[in-house]
Amino acid sequence: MSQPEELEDLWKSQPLDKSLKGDEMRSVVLKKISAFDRTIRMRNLRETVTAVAVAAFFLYLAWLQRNGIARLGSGIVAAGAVWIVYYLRRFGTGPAEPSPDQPAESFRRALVMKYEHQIRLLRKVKLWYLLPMYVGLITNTAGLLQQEAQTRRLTLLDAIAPLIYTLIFAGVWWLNEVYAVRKLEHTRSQILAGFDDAA
Amino acid sequence: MTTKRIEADRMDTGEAARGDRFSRLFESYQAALRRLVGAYASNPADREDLLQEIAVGIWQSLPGFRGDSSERTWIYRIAHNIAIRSSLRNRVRNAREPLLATPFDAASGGVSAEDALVDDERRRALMSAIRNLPVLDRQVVTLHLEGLSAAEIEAITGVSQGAVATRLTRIRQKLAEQIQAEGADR
Repeated sequence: MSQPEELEDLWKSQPLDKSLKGDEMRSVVLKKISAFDRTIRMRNLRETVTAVAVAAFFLYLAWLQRNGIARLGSGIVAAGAVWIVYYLRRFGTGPAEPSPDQPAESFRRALVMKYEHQIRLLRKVKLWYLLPMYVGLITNTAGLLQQEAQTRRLTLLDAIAPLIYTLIFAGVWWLNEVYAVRKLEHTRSQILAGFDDAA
Repeated sequence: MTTKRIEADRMDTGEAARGDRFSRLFESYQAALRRLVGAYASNPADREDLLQEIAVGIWQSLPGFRGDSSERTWIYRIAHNIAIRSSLRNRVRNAREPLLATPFDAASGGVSAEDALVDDERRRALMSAIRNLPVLDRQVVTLHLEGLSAAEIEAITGVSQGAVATRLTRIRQKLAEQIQAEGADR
């Protein structure tokens, strides 16, 4: 069984999946490329629309609010939403998708670089994504509570809202900086191990 | 005719030439590419996805192909790089599933049903064993089984020609052991 010719015969005598004509595959390829481009365009559009909506909503709140600290907080959230989209556009894309027609070694290096870029981006998520929004929300809440304190005595119940979004932000931080980074690091080490083992 | 129109016509001609070249390449290498995707994905839908991904890679790389390497080396390089990237994403599903879509055709082509069944089992065992190999070993052995020379394998994988020979000896032994073990299990 281990005779080289036998292995080659077995390999080449595999029954194959239904074949396609070159022109058919070309139209599949063109459809896939256009679907991918559309997905990217839609994702960018969604991000921009969401940022504009959040910014508009908090600017409106800032305009409505009478307390200066609360206004400042809303302004920070609005600016934070715009900043996040800017940051994603400016730094989010990273190195281009590695060209597959390069030698395996440089393809591997390019893949590793791509993963490292994503890891770096996620490791800084608390700074560029969470911090502006969190600081804004906390400032806004502090302002609102200061305003409330003028008319009534504050209780522990007033801490529930900030506690809830603190927990949500902590969850988002964990998902990005711990869980997702761990997964990406695992994939990165697989790329290295997949090529380097028994080299 | 305006310059803009001439430029547009030239681009159309360029796209048409690219399309013709792609179709020719795909048809020439389709069987080999289909065998290759079988080494990375076991179920038909995954194999088709991977094949399409490779085809996209070929299409996108085509304008940059300057003939520095042979067409064959270039195609296999694209195919293997994309297969690796894809298998990393899919975490290499190695479950034992039907080998390929074509149903077993008893006693076809003058082969007895029993012989055909044995061959079918051996092919299954071979594919299963190949899918269990580390990625680089998988690349080396599939390229070798496709009939590529050690120099071509070096150009694709970066493994030196000497190391290819050593690796192949070890891989063949490993495959034989796994295939025998699977045969003994039946």
